[in-house]
Amino acid sequence: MPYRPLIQRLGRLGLAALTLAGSPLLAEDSADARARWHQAIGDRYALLAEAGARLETSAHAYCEAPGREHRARLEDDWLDAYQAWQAVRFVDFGPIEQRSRAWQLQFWPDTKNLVGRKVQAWLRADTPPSIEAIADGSVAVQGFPALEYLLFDEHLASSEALAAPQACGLLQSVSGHLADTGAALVRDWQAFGDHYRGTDSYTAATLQAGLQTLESLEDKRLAEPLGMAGPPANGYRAEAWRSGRSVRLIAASLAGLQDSFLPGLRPLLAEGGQAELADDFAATLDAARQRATAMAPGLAPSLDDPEAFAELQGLYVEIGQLSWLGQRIAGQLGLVSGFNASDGD
Amino acid sequence: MPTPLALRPLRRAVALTALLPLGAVAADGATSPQVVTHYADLAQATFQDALTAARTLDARLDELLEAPTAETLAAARQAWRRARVPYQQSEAFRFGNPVVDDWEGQLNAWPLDEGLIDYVAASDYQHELGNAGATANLVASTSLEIGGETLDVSELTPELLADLNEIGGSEANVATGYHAIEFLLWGQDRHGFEAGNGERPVSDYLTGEACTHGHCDRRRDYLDAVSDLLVSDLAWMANQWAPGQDDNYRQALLAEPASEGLRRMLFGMGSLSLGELAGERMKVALAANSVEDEHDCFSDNTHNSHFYNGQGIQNVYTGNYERLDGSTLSGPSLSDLVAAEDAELDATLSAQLEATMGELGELKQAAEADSSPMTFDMMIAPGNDTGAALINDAILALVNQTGSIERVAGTLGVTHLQPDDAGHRF
Repeated sequence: MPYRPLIQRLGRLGLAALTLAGSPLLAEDSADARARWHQAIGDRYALLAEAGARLETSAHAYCEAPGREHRARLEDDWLDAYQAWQAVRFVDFGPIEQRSRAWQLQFWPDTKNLVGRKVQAWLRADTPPSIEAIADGSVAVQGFPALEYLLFDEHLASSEALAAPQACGLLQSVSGHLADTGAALVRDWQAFGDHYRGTDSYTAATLQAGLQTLESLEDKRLAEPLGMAGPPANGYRAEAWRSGRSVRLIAASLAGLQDSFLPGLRPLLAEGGQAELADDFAATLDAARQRATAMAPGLAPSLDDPEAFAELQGLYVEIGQLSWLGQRIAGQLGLVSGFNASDGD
Repeated sequence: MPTPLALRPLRRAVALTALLPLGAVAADGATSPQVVTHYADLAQATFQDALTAARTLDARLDELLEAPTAETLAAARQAWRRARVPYQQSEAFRFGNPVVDDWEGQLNAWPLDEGLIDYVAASDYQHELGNAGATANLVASTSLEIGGETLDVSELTPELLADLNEIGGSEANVATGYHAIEFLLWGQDRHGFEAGNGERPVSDYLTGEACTHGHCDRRRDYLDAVSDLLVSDLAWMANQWAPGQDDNYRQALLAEPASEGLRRMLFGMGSLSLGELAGERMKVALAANSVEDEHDCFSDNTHNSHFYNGQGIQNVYTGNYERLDGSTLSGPSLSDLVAAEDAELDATLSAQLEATMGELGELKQAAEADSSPMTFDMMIAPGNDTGAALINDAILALVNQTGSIERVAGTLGVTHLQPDDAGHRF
């Protein structure tokens, strides 16, 4: 046979979108679930905006008086804001869809180091970019990974590198743009409220968003970098590999699902007589979050450490369990599949 | 698997007829099985044309190697562009048909770390992070060390190149297919967002003293081998869809219930429309201003690749395909089935497919304009509002048609569009 079957790329095909089609359970009025979701997600956007504003302030403080203390504060605030984004990242509809805002906050995956190249291009420029220039430019330089490059990449390893005018100017403009994005999301999410609460199809869209996040945690954020998706382990496939905070981000995603996905999911399942399934899901979610929170913060550094790797495998298995419960939930609620933007290869 | 019903073929036939949904028989008499059969005919014709065009390309490449001149290089490049026309249309058969999806990586995988194949300018080359094969340069090396193994690559045969795909576990290690040939014909596009594409000198294929960039003999062997592989791969695929055989994919597909064929048709249309073309091939490149995410980045033929992807999707719906020789293949179509069930939906989707072709046509016109052409890599430049609008309009058109494709699936009773059901049963 003149061809060699290639490695199956099911992982890259991603989970199919789930859309509502005449479900017996969801045909019931689900406005109550949406009202809860709107409130809980709005709270999370507010936290993101507040964390973004603190990050912007810290960036200014550091650039005015670079020093160990301001630097430590800046790194902490970067991680806080990044985690605040993870907590609400599962929401893939509504204002986040405008102008590729999700990519603006976090361009990922970035296999070809576009973030590094776009940041380097600005570092080589004659003058630092304005916030407007960042807002009009590539999504790769608008978000948390670009700041991570400035804070953690080996190219800026010397203690003075970030304090240089070009780097600090970039730091402040990207932080400023991030803060703007957070504030805009809070405003736009509120404005979106009536439409969201009044449109039945958003029930399925919200369920889909939460359940798809579990699949992506399992396949993209764990299996691929850990080498469990076929190809060998590759730490560069992990999020936040430069700072070694991949597992912290996963923990934040799980916490976000607890706070802002469960509130609407529970009543929907309860109405369908599936309160027990909701309890199972909530308990597994909590166990996974606790496990992730207690683990070493990074993924790539654990690839060569058998004990730490075993911990990661444990987390992977637990999230796989969550994902499986998610599929059962989808079945119970009568979600059927459609196309989504991750269907390509 | 034999079932008890198979022992009573007549009763089974009666039972199946009773189970057919209303929409399975169109007003003009087109039935679901006829539509799926014609779909297989479309696939066969499209892959056959891709094979014909690849054979022409192979002949032009032989002429280039026989006498490397500016003219033979230009003719080879032109043949490559022509070869993309049927192939890109064939991508509408990719998602949904495992026989195609499992095979296509060897022909059209991208983006690739071209440093695996030949020399690159390090300053303009960003490979996949963690890819151990990204700078292997097979043209310049007779052995390859990867993942703790040493491979003998002294003889560049089609089989060896096929085995080198995804070596070391990285999808960016693409040793074969259209984009490998494209790189060997054009070389790196070092113009970024500016006008201009790859400028590989034809002297890269001269022998002896005149050879540029070294190892011309091996580069010639590479081009020869990779082109032969493309031809044999396409011949194999055209055969998979050929009628009158008892052991190929067509036969297996037609043995399935017609509803399964309809599902594969719609799945292929929707996946190519949204996730692949609108998403991976346009939106990522635009939002990130990333020339690395341009589909035909060496030749700057991306606008045509997108245009003929769109054409392929429309072909599957209308049942029409304009062949390389200018003739048209027509037959019972999805459109016929939908029209019988919901004429308004058929009109909507037909118009949306046409609108998409209009938007993709504008991309093509802008890229091929006589004065100040704007190719795809120029459209995605930061601050190019005109280019961004052209691409965004095309994305929006594709998103719109995908919504209707889902509605068509509902109307025809096709419920399982998820990739995991797409198969691997064949």
